[in-house]
Amino acid sequence: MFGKKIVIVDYDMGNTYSISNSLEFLGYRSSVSRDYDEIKDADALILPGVGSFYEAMQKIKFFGLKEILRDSALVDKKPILGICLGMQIMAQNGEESGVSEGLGFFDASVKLLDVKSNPLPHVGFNSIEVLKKEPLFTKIDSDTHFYFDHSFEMVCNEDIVGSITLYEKEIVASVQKDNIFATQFHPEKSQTSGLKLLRGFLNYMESYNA
Amino acid sequence: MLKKRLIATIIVKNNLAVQSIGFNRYLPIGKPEIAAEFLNEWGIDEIALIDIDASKKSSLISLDLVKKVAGKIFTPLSVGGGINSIESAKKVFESGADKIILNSALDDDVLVQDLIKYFGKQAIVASIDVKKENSKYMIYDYKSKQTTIELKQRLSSLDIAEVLLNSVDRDGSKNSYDIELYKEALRYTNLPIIALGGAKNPLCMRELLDNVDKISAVGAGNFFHYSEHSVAISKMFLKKDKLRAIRHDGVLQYKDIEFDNDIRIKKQDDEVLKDMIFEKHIKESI
Repeated sequence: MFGKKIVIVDYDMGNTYSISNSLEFLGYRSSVSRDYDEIKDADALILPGVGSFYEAMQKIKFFGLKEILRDSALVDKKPILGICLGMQIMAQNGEESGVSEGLGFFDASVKLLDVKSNPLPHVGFNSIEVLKKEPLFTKIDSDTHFYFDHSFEMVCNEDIVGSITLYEKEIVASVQKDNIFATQFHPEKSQTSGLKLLRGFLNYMESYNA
Repeated sequence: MLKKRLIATIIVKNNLAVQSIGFNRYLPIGKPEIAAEFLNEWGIDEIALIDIDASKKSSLISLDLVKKVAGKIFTPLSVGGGINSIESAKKVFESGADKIILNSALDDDVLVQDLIKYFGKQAIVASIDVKKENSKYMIYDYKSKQTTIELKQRLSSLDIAEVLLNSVDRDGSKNSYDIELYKEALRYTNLPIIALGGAKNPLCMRELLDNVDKISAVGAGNFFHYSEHSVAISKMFLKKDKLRAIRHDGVLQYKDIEFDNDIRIKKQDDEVLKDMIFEKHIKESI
């Protein structure tokens, strides 16, 4: 297989196997890497992540990834997709285990989900409402289910919100700005709907430089 | 709205998926990865893969097996079996697990705290086996085959992602879920609880969902493995009479079907079946 180079950024947080497995299903080969040159060379990046905001940012700094990720997203303007914690660390800051600074792709902050009568984490399949159809939700309608598993939420301006979900209150389910996309849910764990969303991202990547 | 999950367990012994009855009899089902592939296609919400021999033998669940299973599904995978260190947990995550399931390791507070610190509590599921003794729910240690502490004691001190609460008395019994157990457990903890043990058919699932409001997920092993399209049919059944919070948006819809008293699908009229022969099904391209 030839074609675009997709790098799943490996910063030691979470399950990268299921993402590469999903991409393979869709006909794309990807590499899991934290190598500077490989990230620099990539046509698109996927930022996975499971765990805590603080821990994730520590790892990103430890592996020296902060600059290259910022450059890729903001200067080179590569298509980049953050998933779950990978979305959260794209905010300015997060307050999981103390306030820490994020990658700052979005003018947003990450706060503990403030729910009263429901348990945390917010875990399971929840339906979403699509606010921005293109490019992620091209083949997906509102009320489609995606798999969520998180205790913190992104708080941001409405203009970057791509979809929302309800868990006692409205929660941001995805955000997007220019070449940067991120989902709070796990498309790689959301069966057919998730694969369609990844297809949306891949199609965006394909048409991006053309 | 958040949906109630249907979770299938794949119990593994000697790398083979087995049916478990009362924690002491086991019947072979087949290759775990094949079972997982079917469950995924039938629309399962989550899969729990558990090697029940690993801890006893002080070994770890086969990583090759975890990879094989993870490669066949696009749904969350929890994995248990002999995880007793950061290192072993790391290997299991790297093989494709989304969460790890701890059972005997729960006794080791230091280890649990270390695992939480390293992987986050959202990645850790407590699997708790319970046996009723003198009308009290007690933790059952499957290795020594004895009960230890009270359920209340264990639940009130837990701070992880969720609890897989398995009734030993109901395991493989087809006597339906122990409704009282889940009601009681939810008085001791706010954590999401997955009920397991005793599912005979979707009627048991309906009974559980309608009686235990706060239950987060309905688990079953044997039932899901032994009948064709079990997951899709269960979901249809649970949505048929009332709008229950269930995700049922897969290809296998089973609209317009009738159930008999044993919750098996009634045979359709000959006319309907005849028409079906000429229905064209185009595979959806993603």
